[in-house]
Amino acid sequence: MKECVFDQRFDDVKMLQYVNNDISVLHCHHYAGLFTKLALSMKSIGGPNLLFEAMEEASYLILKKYFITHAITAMDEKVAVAEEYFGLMGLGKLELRMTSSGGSGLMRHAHVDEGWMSKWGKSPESVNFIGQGYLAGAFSVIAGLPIGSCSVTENRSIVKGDSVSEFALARKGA
Amino acid sequence: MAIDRKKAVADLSQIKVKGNADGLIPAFGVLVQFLPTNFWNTFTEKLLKAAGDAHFEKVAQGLENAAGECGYHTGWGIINSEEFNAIVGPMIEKKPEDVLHGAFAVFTGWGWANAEIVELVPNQRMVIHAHNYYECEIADTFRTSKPIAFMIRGVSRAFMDIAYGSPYPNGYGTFKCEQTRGIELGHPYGEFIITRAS
Repeated sequence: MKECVFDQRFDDVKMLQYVNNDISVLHCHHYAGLFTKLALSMKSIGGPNLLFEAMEEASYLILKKYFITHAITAMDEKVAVAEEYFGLMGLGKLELRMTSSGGSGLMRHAHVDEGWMSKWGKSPESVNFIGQGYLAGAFSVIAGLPIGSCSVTENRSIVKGDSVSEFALARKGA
Repeated sequence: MAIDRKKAVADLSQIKVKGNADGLIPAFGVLVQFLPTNFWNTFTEKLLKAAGDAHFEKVAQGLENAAGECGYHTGWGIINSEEFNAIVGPMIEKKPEDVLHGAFAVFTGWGWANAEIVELVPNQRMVIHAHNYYECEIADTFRTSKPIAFMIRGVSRAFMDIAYGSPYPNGYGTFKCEQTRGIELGHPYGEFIITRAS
């Protein structure tokens, strides 16, 4: 399997950083943690789901473009790219398994959980809506389905004290 | 000002970043991630739309505070990093003013915003002009009558906290920021005025 391309360049006219031609930006775990906390504080208007959807859309678009640009068509190669890209962006160590009706995700490291714990300690509830959204977008684009085709359930969480985070992926309507 | 901003931005912008074998990016005393800006903008836009006028202030405060804490902790790590000291360190003649100018070179070189200090009254007031910033792209799909460059607001006041607040980590919140102009509002640049919080 070829190493995933993660081409970082700076546009010195627009003064923007790009990764694989997507405008990208570095932020820290305080930023991600406080976005997550803000989303949680706005459950009444669906805050956590909005954070999930934002990353679902982002991962779907990133990976779709990557597969087209690099002519990747085989399922196992697409899965490998999705796993590696997650880590290259600093979101954690991901193992993704796909089946026709769903799949699973396992994170041995998770930026959101580990950042949360370094800031506030353990949480009684899952907080990795960004990771969940990434998995949902990745599943849909790898399976050749429209965005929004995957539901994600986080069954174990590093932030709750588990050794790893585990996610069940299900194709909606399957 | 002793800082050669053009050189500092050019050098700082070439620092390459990606996840390690654990898929993490430990740097500057924090964990960082390198995500597409459309993710951050999409969430902000979705949240603002869902919040409406009723919850606008809560959302605005939450997003600015996220940037403030990010700017305070990561900013402290950056200005004490090997990279900053190697590139900006030799240009520093007067602290903390030159460090502040250097911090805004980082701000620009790392793609947060093409922002620079246009006025600085030490320990009292700073004015930032931002000629491009990724948050303004929200205006492509979200019409707003209020300025929404929360990231620049939070980080700018946090940099002043580091420069003139109580020694780190006790100076957070010493300064506040008001955004008076915004590309998202149709202005040619964003303007941010940082003054003491009380």
